Amino acid sequence: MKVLFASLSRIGDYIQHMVLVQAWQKAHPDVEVHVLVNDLIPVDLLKMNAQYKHFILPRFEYQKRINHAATPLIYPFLSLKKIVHQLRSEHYTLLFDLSLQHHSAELLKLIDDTFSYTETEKSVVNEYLNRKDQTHLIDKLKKIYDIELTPKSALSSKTHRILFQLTTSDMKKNIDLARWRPIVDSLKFRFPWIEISILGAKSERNLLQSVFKPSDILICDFSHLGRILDSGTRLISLDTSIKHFAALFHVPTIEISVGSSHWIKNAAYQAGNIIFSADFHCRPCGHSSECPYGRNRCQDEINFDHLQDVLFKWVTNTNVINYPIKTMVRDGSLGVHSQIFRGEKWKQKTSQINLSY
Amino acid sequence: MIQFLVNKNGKLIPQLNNLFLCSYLRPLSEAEKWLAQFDLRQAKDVLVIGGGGGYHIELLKLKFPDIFVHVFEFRPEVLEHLEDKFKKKQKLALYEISTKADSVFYKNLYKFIDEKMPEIMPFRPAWQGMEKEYEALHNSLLMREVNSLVQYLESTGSNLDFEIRLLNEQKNFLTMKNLVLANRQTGHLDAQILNYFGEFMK
Repeated sequence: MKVLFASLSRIGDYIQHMVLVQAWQKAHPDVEVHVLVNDLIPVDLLKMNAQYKHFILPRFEYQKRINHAATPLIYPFLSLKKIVHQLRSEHYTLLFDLSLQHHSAELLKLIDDTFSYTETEKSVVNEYLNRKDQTHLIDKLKKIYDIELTPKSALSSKTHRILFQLTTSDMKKNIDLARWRPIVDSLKFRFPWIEISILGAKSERNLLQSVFKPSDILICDFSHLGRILDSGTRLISLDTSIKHFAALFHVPTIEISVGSSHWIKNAAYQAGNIIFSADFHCRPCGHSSECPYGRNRCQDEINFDHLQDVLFKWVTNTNVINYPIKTMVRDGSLGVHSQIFRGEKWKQKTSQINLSY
Repeated sequence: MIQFLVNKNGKLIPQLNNLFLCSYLRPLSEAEKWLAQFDLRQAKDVLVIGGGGGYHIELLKLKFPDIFVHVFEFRPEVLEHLEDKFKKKQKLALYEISTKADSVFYKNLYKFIDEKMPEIMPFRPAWQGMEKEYEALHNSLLMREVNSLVQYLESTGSNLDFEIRLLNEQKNFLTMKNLVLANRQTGHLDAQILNYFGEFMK
């Protein structure tokens, strides 16, 4: 028996999807599992899941070259045709669409004419798209595909390294980089024995150097990062794939949620993380919509004094009691607990009931 | 009649009448500039249109030894020179192209294109004196004009079927969107695969 999981979203989603795939495989050890991804996923990340055969849909390459005058018109079609025929020849017993998007469903229909979403899938997609829904992506997917998976907890020992991930691929989810400098400097001053690094990709080096010292910047890929993430490491991250990756290593994380990032749906799937979520009237906005304000004003709602106060206690393993939101396990799913209530609207967003069902 | 002149650096430069088929003074920097236009990170096969003095091919082989280089050339003298120059090169194929291409040629050409999907790399300095022929070959490969697309569809016996009237309205430069909109078929898998590109245009 052979099954195909389609994970045709972004890097952070792929990392989370693979947690589900591994849990599914554990329950079905005799089944051969293949995974279909797009060309956004870095090769080193794919290699970490090399136990599964991966197929790559070069969707972004197609988009880049589709109307490029020097590319033969028919090439993207020929390339996709080759991939579709290859996948059809695998004769999968089951196809799972972890992306749950129109384009992924359409592609799976090309691989198997009989593919369609079940009623459960349809209702879960509708629930997930509802702005009031408070369920983590993984908890939704595990419900659809009947997968046993409970969030693990962050593990912490004496802190020897703090990593900051302060850039995302989406401007709406960023905080002005210069605002981070004082907090990084004060941490370095207060805890000189702790190694503090600002993470970034090669393409972000110049941007990061405009604010931070070159010696504070750590340019690395996932395989490098995987080698340094341990229980003595802590992460402060915007809504990026790095926080999902760090959760695989149980790294305690402070998550900053602004723009289109949802404080629970898009959180790292790990209990014990602290979340600072901007409370602004248009939050969370749509992933593909532009910020109506140009600059994402919701970022100003993150209180950096409060963040610094929490950060100092958190780094020293002191019991942090003034956190805004903390993730925890509730009935086997990811729930949150809030210490700060900011009016009725805030209460609704962070109610202490189980948020998964 | 093509002659080969030796420049001040001892490089052989092909000349046709008063035209050089690659830079006389700086063939190597011309090759550098030419190669810099292409992104070959994913390429397994490339198709160089125009042999010239062969310096661009030499550089290409030097920088990308794992890529299979196919060279299309109309002039037998240039081809002879290239055969001599690249005698022992691996992963290199030189093809002499006739100016009187027939349907068998196109059938084989498109079969090659379908199988290898090579990166198309026109080397225009080598086209001098035969610009029209090279341009026609290049257009046949790009299929951005209705005639060349029709030629491709007929030569390959494609399962795709287009409303040519719609394509003709876009005769200067066809795009994938034009193909999706002009697609008349829905039943065949190939047509459904083509329609999938509509997802990218939403």
